[in-house]
Amino acid sequence: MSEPVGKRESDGGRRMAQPPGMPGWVKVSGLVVLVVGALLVAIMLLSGGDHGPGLHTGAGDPTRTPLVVGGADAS
Amino acid sequence: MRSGIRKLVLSIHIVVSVGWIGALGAYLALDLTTVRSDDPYLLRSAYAGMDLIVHSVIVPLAIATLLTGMIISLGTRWGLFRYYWVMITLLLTVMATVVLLVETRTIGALAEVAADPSTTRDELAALNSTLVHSVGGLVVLLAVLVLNVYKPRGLTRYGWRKQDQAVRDPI
Repeated sequence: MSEPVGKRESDGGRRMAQPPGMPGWVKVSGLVVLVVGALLVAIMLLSGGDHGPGLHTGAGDPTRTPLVVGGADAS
Repeated sequence: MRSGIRKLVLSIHIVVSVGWIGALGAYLALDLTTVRSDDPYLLRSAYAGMDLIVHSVIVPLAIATLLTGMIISLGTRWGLFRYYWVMITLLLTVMATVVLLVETRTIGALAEVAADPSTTRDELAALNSTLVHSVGGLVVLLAVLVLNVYKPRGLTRYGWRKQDQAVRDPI
C-alpha cells in the first residue's frame, strides 16, 4: 500500500498543535458495532446461551442423537 | 523496508486476503446448501466440503493475511497504531481469525456426524448450518477491504506523537 506522503502528514496537511480527536467515522462505526454486538449477545442469551458445537448440531451434543422413534431411516 | 521487499509482501498480502474472501464465498455456497437441501447425499458432501475448505484453505489464508498485514504495517510509516483505519483493520482481522479458529471445532463436529454412515436422514436434516458465522465473517472481511481501499483519515494520539517526535528530532 502507498505510504502516507510528507514529513508532517496530518489531517488536512496542516501542522497540528494539539493531538487530533477521534474522527467521526470511527465514533459512528464503533456505535454501530456496539449495538449489533449487544443484539447478538441478547439473542444468544435468549436462545439458551449455548455457543459450542451443540448450537449448530441442533442438540446439546455434537454426536448423533436419534430423532426418529420406532424405525430409523438409515439413508 | 526496501521498496522491492515491500511490494513482494504487499503482493502476497493481496493474494491471501482476497483469496480468503473468495474461499469464504465457496464455503458459503456449501453452507447455504445445508440450509436449503434435505437430500442426504448432498448434505454429507456439503459438510465434508465445508470441513475441507476451512482446514485446507481458509485457516492458512487467514493466518497469512494477518501476518503479511502486520509485516507491511510495521515495515512502513503507516505503523500498526498510528492511523485509525490500520488499527481497526488489525482488530477486525484478529477477531475474524480467532472466531474462525474456534469455529473449526464446530465444523469438524458437523462433518464427523455427517460422515457417519449410521446418521439418519432426519439427523442430517437436523444439523444446523454455520450461516451466521460465515455471513458475519464475510461482512467483516468486506469492511476490512473497504477500509484498506479508502484509507479514511484519522491520526491516533500515538501517531500524532510519533510524527511530532520525527519533526522535532529528525534523524
